[in-house]
Amino acid sequence: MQPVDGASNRGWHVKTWNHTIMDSDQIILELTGPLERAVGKTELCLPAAGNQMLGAVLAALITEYPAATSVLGEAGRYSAAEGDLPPGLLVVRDSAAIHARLETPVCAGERLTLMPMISGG
Amino acid sequence: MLDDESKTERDSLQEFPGDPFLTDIEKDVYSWQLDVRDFGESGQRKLKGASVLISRVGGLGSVVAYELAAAGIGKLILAHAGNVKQSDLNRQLLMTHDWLGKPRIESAMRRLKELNPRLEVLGVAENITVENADRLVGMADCIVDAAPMFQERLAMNDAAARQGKPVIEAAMYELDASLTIIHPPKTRAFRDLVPDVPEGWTRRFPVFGAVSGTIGCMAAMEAIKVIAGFGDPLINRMLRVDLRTMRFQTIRLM
Repeated sequence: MQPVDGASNRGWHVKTWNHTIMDSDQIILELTGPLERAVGKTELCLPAAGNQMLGAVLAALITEYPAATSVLGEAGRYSAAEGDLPPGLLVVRDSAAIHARLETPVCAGERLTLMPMISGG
Repeated sequence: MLDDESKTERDSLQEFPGDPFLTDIEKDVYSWQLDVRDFGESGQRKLKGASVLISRVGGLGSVVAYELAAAGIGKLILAHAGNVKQSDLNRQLLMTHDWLGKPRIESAMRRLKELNPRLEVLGVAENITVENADRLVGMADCIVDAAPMFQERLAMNDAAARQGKPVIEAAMYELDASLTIIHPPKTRAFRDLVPDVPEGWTRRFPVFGAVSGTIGCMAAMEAIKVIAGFGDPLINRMLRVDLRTMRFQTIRLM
């Protein structure tokens, strides 16, 4: 994958990726904190074919693991063509927190970390 | 080794005017840490001249306060409401059985003064709110955020951003922990990470004292580095710690 755009939104570094075809038909999600606890898995794979939007990936996660609603909310909120993610949900790609939105492209073979911000003291 | 950009970021955090001389007793007490590379007597004097606000001295903040007191910070301002409960005692290391039912802030101040009688400590029996955040932040050079509720974190970060003060953002949940420094415009604002209170976060969270203590020690070290101006603080980076697997990861926040 090669970064093709360095635009920014609200100061975040944003990269849109010129995805190449990956030798995989899955998206790998690493879950942390309350989301990991709710789903009961540190890592999971969702079936994927080609490029899709992050919102669709999150909706698929909730459909497959309904307990995720306690952190992510209902799957229906991710059906919009574009929009913000829930507040405090970081998406980490290649060890960098990206400015992720519902319309952020995700391709098969990618690995993302879903990291809800925590506040325990 | 720091690159030039990191040095610029680090040096620009040096906005602490206090730089008092050390007494002979202080030189003796801190003699082992005076040998730390890039710290020395200059760093120790900066610590002595600095004040730190800690939002809540529970499982995380109590360890931050203890380590900063041990290291010779000049002044601590502690904000924490309520009385000591039995369920505090698995992690809130400044609270003791003999103080059950009495104000937490008094127990914390007492324990810190036992450790370091030279420490100036101001206890405020309030949690951070929108109403008191500017006043409390205004008392300190540097802020450590160890509050359990996002409402408190947002109010304090908003105030710190208005006043140009660095915030050491430390948090934990079960065996996970995170740590970063928020100091706009050198870093993103906390609201860029958390625009509003996340859904589903509750006042009670699963916690071992060893987890909050681990990240508390790291937060104290970040505060020392920021105040004394050495090392490579977590500017535009977030440390994520998973103590279940002992995996440590540094995430870029750009």
